[in-house]
Amino acid sequence: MKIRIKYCGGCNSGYDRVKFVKLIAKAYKDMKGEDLSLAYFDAEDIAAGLMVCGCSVCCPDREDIKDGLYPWYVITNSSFNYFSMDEAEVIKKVVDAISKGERR
Amino acid sequence: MMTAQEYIESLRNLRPRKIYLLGEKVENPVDHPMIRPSINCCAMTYKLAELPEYQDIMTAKSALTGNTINRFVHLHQSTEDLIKKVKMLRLVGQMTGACFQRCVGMDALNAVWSTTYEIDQKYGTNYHERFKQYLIEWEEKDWTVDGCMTDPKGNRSLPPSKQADPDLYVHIVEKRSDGIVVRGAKMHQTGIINSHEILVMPTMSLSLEEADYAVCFAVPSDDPSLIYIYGRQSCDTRKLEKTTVDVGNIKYGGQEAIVIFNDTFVPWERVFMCGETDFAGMLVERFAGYHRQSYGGCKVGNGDVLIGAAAAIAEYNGVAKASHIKDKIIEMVHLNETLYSCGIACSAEGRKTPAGNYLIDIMLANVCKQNVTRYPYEIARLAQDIAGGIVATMPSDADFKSPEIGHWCNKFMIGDAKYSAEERQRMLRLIETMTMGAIAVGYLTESMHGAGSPQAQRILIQRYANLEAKKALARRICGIDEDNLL
Ligand SMILES: Cc1cc2nc3c(=O)[nH]c(=O)nc-3n(C[C@H](O)[C@H](O)[C@H](O)COP(=O)(O)OP(=O)(O)OC[C@H]3O[C@@H](n4cnc5c(N)ncnc54)[C@H](O)[C@@H]3O)c2cc1C
Repeated sequence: MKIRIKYCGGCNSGYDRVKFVKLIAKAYKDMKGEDLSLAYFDAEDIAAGLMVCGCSVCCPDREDIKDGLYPWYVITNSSFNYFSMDEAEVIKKVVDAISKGERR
Repeated sequence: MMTAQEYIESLRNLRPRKIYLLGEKVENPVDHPMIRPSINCCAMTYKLAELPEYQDIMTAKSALTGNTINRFVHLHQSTEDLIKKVKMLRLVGQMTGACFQRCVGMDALNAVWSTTYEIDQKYGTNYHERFKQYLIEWEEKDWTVDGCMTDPKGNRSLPPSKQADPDLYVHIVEKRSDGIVVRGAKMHQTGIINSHEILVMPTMSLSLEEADYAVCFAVPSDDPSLIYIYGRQSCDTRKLEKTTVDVGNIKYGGQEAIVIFNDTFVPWERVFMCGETDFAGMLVERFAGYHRQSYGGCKVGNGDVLIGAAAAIAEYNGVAKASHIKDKIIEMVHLNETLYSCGIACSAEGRKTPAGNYLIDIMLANVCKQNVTRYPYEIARLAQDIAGGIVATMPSDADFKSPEIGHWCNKFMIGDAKYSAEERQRMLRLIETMTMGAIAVGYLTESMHGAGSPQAQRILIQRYANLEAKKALARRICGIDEDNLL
């Protein structure tokens, strides 16, 4: 499974975004038994996009970025698509969501 | 949209209400001289929306119907909307020099919109759809709605269910097939007599035992069960005198009242939270967040008026060129614009909610309000400094108009002879009302306690400060943690 990662600019990040993405990749492997490949640019066969934001403002959530062939999810370490939740729940939600990964 | 005149007439069309002021029942609040300035003030939110030169800020396109609506009934759709809200509040604050009351409803509507959505997602309830239907009517009728949160609270150290009197927090006393019955009161309600509807919210985070207090609902302001007791403001009876000069702000003013819910029935379609204690905190935090943003607009507009008054009185007193006076006015402007910066910042850093409307940045909104609890007081202090002692000792306008002694008042009240005694008199009365009279309720005490006392902001600032992340920054810079960047 390949997903696209789009980080926010990281100006006032409240946590380590790179570490958090690694946790997601590990959780994916543990739960699905498959490696999660991360793409930082648009590429073929991407199943889903993750906007990884350092704070609740979620700056990169813009239509021009979302305009891809795959669904995007906006996350911080304490929110999934703007719903507040704890870190473990965000990771679980992300793994569930990208597993569905329907290309539009 | 309603015109200002239609708004005033719409208040006359409400059913008779039990409104008490100075121990008497008020039969005609619209023409009562102590109430009318607050109605004029709220009417300004309608008036400016009528005028093409203000419509870009005062109106918006409804997210629900696509119609053009007054921004005071708008669901914020972007950070630009949040910024325009602050600009609108500054504008109306400038035009009235007082609290125009309509922002509490706007802040409540945006908070209830997103919170009901999230309650429904968790519990499968249909509060959000109910609220949507209510909001469509609200927009269409261009209502003024009272955002009704603060309970009497009794012993502040005890939660609602442990109070000696259970009615010290609004609570559900009966659930029926057709709706609920609520009892209790809300204090300090800004503009409630000038409102068509009342949107009630819980006042604090609640625990599971407090389910009866976790209630959000709307009732018409002319519901026969409601009792209103009008709040006194400093110098309020000057509005009953023959002359308006001593009132200072001659046409506009604020208003607060207690409302009592004396076993008020609410049909289910107007109930938007009923027992979901785990969402009370979210609703309070969001409403308070929006309202703390609001003060970065309205108090700044009022501040503009006070700074103008201070600069004018400096001229009338003949001290405008003195360097310390100029510096004091610069300081007032600096403080005022700092508040505005905070209002704009928490809006620019706003975010989308799952329900689709935009929420301000909670940390920055709390920083904004924390500054608002201080700076208007300093601005007021500087205004009084510049005005001179006469701001507190001036004879009444009746003395100025007296055939017997009026000439003495006019002779000795002259400052720089370029200006009349009456100009000086009026400007001083404006400074007086804004810094210690009726308008100071809105400009000062509301800045202190409205939208939450200072400590309420500090609690949220602490919660959102993320000190762990800051400690990690420090550890990396001083070499405790590895710096793997360079
Ligand atoms: C002009 C004005 C307009 C207002 N308009 C509205 C309105 O339109 N709608 C609305 O709902 N509300 C409105 N309010 C109410 C406002 O939100 C409250 O005044 C505010 O939340 C503070 O509550 P309080 O006045 O009961 O003060 P208190 O809660 O009594 O606070 C007094 C002091 O006690 C401290 N304190 C309180 N509880 C505790 C505790 N448990 N432990 C330790 N310290 C504590 C506070 O920090 C503060 O320093 C308005 C208030 C004013 C002054």
